[in-house]
This record gives sequence, C-alpha cells and structure tokens, in this order.
Amino acid sequence: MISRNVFQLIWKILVYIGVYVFIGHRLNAFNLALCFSYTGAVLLLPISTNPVRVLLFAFAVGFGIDIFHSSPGIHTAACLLMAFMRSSFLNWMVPAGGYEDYMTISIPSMGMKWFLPFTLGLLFMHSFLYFIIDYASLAQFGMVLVKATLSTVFTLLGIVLTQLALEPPKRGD
Amino acid sequence: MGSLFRFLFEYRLFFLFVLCEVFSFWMIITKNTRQKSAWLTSSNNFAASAMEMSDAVTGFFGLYQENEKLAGENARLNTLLTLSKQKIDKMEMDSTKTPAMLEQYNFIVAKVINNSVSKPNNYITLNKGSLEGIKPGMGIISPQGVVGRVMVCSEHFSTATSLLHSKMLISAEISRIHASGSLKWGGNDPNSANLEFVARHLKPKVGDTVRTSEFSNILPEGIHVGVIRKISLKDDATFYTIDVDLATDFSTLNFVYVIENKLQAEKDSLQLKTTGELE
Repeated sequence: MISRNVFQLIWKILVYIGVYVFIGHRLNAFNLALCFSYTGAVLLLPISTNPVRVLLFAFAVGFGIDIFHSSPGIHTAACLLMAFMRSSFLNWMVPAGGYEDYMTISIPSMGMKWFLPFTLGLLFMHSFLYFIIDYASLAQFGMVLVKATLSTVFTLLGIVLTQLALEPPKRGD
Repeated sequence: MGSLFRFLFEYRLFFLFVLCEVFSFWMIITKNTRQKSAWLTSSNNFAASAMEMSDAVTGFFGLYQENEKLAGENARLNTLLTLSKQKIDKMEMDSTKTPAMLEQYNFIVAKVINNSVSKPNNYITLNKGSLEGIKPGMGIISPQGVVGRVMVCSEHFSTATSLLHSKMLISAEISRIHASGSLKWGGNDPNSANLEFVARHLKPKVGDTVRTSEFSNILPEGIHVGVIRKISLKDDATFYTIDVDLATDFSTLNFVYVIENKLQAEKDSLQLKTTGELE
C-alpha cells in the first residue's frame, strides 16, 4: 500500500527534474550562471529521509542528468557531494526543539534564517565541484568561484520558484 | 573482525559516499575527453615530480660511487700534476732527471675501511689489494697530506701502518730552510707529530711548512705533512724538539691514494748492493 505522501513525493521529484530537463538546462545567464534546478529534488527531500537513501537517490538523479547531458560522472559527483553534506547540514542546523513531523524544507516552514544558509551552502558546494571538474584545472580558479557563486544564486531562484508553484502558500498565511 | 564491521557500519554513509564519488570520478576521467586529458597531464606532472624525488633519493645513495669517481679523477689529476711538476724540475735541472723519473709515480685510489687513531700503534685497512697493484711498502697520502705506508696485502685488501704508529718514520723537511729530519708520532695526539733530528744551527720558525723530503723512499717529495706548532731547544741538546700540526685528519680518513713508485725496486736494489758491498 503506497500512501498518498509517496505519490506526492514522486510527483515533486519528477517536477524538479522535469523543470530542469525542459527549461533549466537551457538557461545560461551571461555565460556565467547555470540553473541546476534538478538539485531541488535531492535538497528538498523530507527531513526524516534516511541519509543513505538520500545518497543513493542523489547518485541516481546525478547519473540520469549525466546521461541526459552525456557528461558521465560530472553531475553525479557534484550531486553526491551535496547529498552527503545535506545530512551533516541537517544535523548541524537542528532548530531549538528539534525537527517536527510537519516541517518541510521550505521558506514558509523553516523561515529565511534557516532556509537560506542551508540551501546556499549546499548549492554552492554542488556548483563549485561541478565547475572545478568542468574546467578540470585550477588555472582559472577565480572564474570557477565566480561561476559557482552566481550559479548558486540562480539555481536557488529556480528551486524556490518551482517550490512556490508546487506548494503555493495558503492564503492568510 | 566484529569491531571492523561495526566501524564500517557506523560510517556507512561516508564510505558509500566515497565509493560513489570514486565511481563517478572514474566515469569522469574515462568517458570525458577533456577531463581525461587534464587527468593525464596532471598525473604526468605528478609522475614527473615523483621521478624527480626518487632521483634525488637514489642520487643520495649514489654519492658513494660519485665520491669514488671524483677520487679517481683526483688521482689522475694528481698524477698529471706531479708529472708536470717533474717536467718543470726537468727544465730547471735538465741533466739530473731521466725520462723514467718523470713518470716515476702512479696513484691508486683506495677507500679506508678500517682505521683507528687512539691506540699506541694505529693501522689502516684499505679496500684494494695486490690485484689492484698495491704492494707492501708503498706510500699512502690523502688529499690533505701524508697518511702512512702499506704493510701487508691480500688480493682485495691491504693493511697499512698509519703515520700514528710508534715505528713509523717519514723523511720530512722544513721547506723554507730545506732542513730535513724524521717525522715521528708522539703517541698521544692524533693531530700532531714530532719532527726529529733538525740540527740546532738551523733556524726553524713556528708556522713553517713541513713537507716530505726527497730522501723519502716511499713518498714523492713535496707532499704536505703539516705546520710547525711549537719549537723548543734544550741547552744541552743537539737537535730541536719540534711539534708539527699534522695536515691529515686521521679521524675522518675516507679516500686515500696509494703511491706506486716505479723506480722503487731499482733504487732499493742499488742501495742494497752498495751497503752489501760495503759490509
């Protein structure tokens, strides 16, 4: 018996990946920022998800995106790093009173003060590793940093917009 | 074993992460041409620096051979030097020396493999023997100065009497005034010896250089021996008591040159004949 929550989860994951596949990967702001909005599928998994499953899931997502881009390994490596660090971040950033069942990783649920450091930190790791591997050298390290930073912001924008579309805040909130 | 599994399980997330990352990096460098070439070049850099390092290490262990080579080169140059010195001598006193005398000395490099300085009679062991052409009675010098004389030879080794030996006498002269005497070790200080039989009418000074004299049977003339440190003369003595600071540091002897005097036998037999006839 698969509960409704699981269907919802699968639907959300498909949307994040779909948004990237159909829109996100074409976005390239000033040749400086890419929108890795598929990361939302890993990043915004329920808080209580087993870290090992998150890691395996991230591997699958990254691998799928790599096949799509025919760049075997690059997205996988970056995505894995993000997924691994995600569980550490969750441990470090336990709010006072611990996580509750109703909490989801979103601005309305956790507040800006929690949501921004969490997503920006992890997304930066993802884009940084991605660009380091993409450039495959440290010669243009400054460029890697600039692109990673801008892509982090751009990706976060994409994720937040997708999330808003998926879970519109209820009126009166 | 159980604790190992518990450890692996404890950190399963980390190990899984590392495993997956290794796999993805393997994909990156095998399937992406650009990353592959970057990997190849950076690994080549790595290989190059590793080679460099190993070269430095083997170079260090090769210092012995290098030393030996340099010592050999030194010996060759020393031979050339004495040769040309003797040629100059020849030009100066043309009639006194024959062509045979010009190539009188040959230098054989050897390494000191055993040595002492603290006993009343000290001996040196060299790593070359009769197969290398070393014979008993040959003189030994170091780059700094006089060392001693070969005593016994086996095929591959020789033992020699060090200058630091009570029975070892070397004909030496104070080169400034050409006052010859015999150099003999005092028996205590490995850095100094006594120059005996310098007659009291001569005027040696502290700081004068002492070299081997041409009366020496085993060493070429002019090999550095040391510098005069102290001179004393008792009222009733016929000879000076002269302390000489030895040029050779016997405690750090490493490579030495064994000197082959090609005219030794001829000279010896002649002298023997003379004394024999006299007797």
